[in-house]
Amino acid sequence: MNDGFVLEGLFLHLVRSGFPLGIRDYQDALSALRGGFGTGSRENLLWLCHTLWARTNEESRQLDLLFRRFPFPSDEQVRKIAGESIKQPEVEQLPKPATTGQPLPPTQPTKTPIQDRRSVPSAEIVSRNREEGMGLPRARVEPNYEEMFILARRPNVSLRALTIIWRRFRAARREGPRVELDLDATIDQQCCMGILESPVLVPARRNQAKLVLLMDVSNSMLPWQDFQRMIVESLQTSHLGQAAVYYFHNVPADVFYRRDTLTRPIPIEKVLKECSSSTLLVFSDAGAVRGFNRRQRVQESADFLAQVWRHWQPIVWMNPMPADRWKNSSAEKISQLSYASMLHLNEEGLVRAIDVLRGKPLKAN
Amino acid sequence: MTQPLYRGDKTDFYLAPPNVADGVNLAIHLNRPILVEGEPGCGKTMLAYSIAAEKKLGAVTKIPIKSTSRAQDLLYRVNSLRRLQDAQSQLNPNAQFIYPYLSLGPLGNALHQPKRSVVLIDEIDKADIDFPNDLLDVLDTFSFEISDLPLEEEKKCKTTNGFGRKIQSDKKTQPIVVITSNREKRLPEPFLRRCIYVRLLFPRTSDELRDIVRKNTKLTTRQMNEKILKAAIDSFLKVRAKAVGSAQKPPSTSELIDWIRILHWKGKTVQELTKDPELPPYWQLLFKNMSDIDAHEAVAKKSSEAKS
Repeated sequence: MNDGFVLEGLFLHLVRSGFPLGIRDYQDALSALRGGFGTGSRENLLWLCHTLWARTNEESRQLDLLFRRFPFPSDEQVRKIAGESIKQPEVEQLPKPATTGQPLPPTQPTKTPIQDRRSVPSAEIVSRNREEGMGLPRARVEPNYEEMFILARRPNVSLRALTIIWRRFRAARREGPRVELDLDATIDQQCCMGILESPVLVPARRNQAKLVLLMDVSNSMLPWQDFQRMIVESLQTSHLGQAAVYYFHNVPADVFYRRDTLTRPIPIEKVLKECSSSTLLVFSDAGAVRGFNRRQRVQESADFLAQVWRHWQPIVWMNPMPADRWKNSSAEKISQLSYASMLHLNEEGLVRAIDVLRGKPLKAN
Repeated sequence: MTQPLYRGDKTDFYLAPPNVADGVNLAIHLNRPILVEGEPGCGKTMLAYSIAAEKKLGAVTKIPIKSTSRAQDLLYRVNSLRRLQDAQSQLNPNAQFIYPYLSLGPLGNALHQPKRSVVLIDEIDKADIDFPNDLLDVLDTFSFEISDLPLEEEKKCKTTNGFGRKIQSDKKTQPIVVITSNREKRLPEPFLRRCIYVRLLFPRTSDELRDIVRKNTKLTTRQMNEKILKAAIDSFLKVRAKAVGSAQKPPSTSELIDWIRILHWKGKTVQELTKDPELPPYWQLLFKNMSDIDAHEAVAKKSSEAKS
């Protein structure tokens, strides 16, 4: 058995599976081993790896699966791994397992001393090139239908990133009670009058950016339901001047709803009045999910946009489907309308959407 | 290892589960901050005090975080207002310098002092989303620079205040940083990566709970005998089992300890506790709001009716 590979191999696999780990995390693991942590039993080593490298449930699950594939080193080997790394520079040592490291057990299944190997479906890792990362595993056995899967949510944009993106949307203006000291004016006054009568106060700067969000909650948008909720949640910490969320079904029309269950209707006139001179973000697939091209839908959407365009500008239409899927569907036609810019709903798209909402026109594609 | 390990059971007020103690030891060994999460009232804050007491590190530097906290406030402060006042008078030549108005914040002080200490950053999730990131570099290198102090004043500052522009903690005296979070806001990814994550779960067995109660209430077996304590804990577990998942704040260890103190004070007996275990005497103390109390009463009455 190759000595240095137990942690290195595991670590490299984790990095290739997209764990955001750096050399320092690996060094810390070695330092911990040297300090006597994670030695003695397999569970202890697994605990160490979990504590240092996994941060989410999904990561823990992946780590568990990978860990079970690697044979457990003896104490002597652990000492050797930890000892070797002191003498050798880390950077040179890291690529080692790529050439000498033992590959995954399925290629040499008899050498793995793991008892419960049978419960793990062996998998063949398909990867054309090492630099490209790990390919999709192709199971060699029949899938076990009773196996429990933990499906972790993966939002298009994380909650934190959303909050940060909203904060880019600024239109600060001085408004409200006079509470802030205007230093220049105060000094001017003192110079003019010779005495300081009273400090000059001005209203504090506040974000006056206004935003109306219209969310499509039709069946085709069901895969993004959780994400839509997250968007609404993120607005609470967004520091926007005003942010209102309304829901509609399939095509925005004369009536919106205050709840995502399409209850508590509110007529469009009232919304236009409540949120006057705001900007508008529409979250809808515009027919791109199913790929239908319906003239009626395009016409209705165009009518709607023309109606609100006089009140709300600019308008951005966020489509959860990527741009190449808009082709030959209603989404393509709607994206060509002059009223709104259509963007793909991801982090980059949202950043650009905020730019558009702030008045920077979208570059012609 | 040179230092004795943290065990979590040596103090007379705290009992840490073994996996938590392991996490703490690992964090101390790697000089990483410890991020503690868990439901309210399960002893997140007490963990820091227990580490300080067990490792004999003196008083804990507690930094309560508010929504307006800024990372720089933890490091150092410049008292500009006093300087402005001093500058009005010609007789005060000090006002032309910054260093007399410079003082270290709680974290800065912990980094600067020549002995090891425990720093508790309490409820970090209350702060604004950029706060953890601003602190990341300081917790990573255990050093920071006072950029407000001009270079030419550094010498004078060193002689009067005892510190220069750069505050760097010695490797041996790096503070043990404990950060607690209630998960109100999600913490940034790089920050999570940097910390050793410790999750405090509610104790699984009634024996663990008994030890925790004994440690905290300091009631001897003569003052409160084993049978009453066991009946009380069993009854508490029943109440909690009903409340978990439905109540806004299910009763936790801190509520249990208060409740047992009351039971002892009022001299309740085993019979009173076992008569209706789901609605024991003073059960209302275990909840923190009206709706939880009402909900629990309804559920408990329904189940007792079903039994009879």
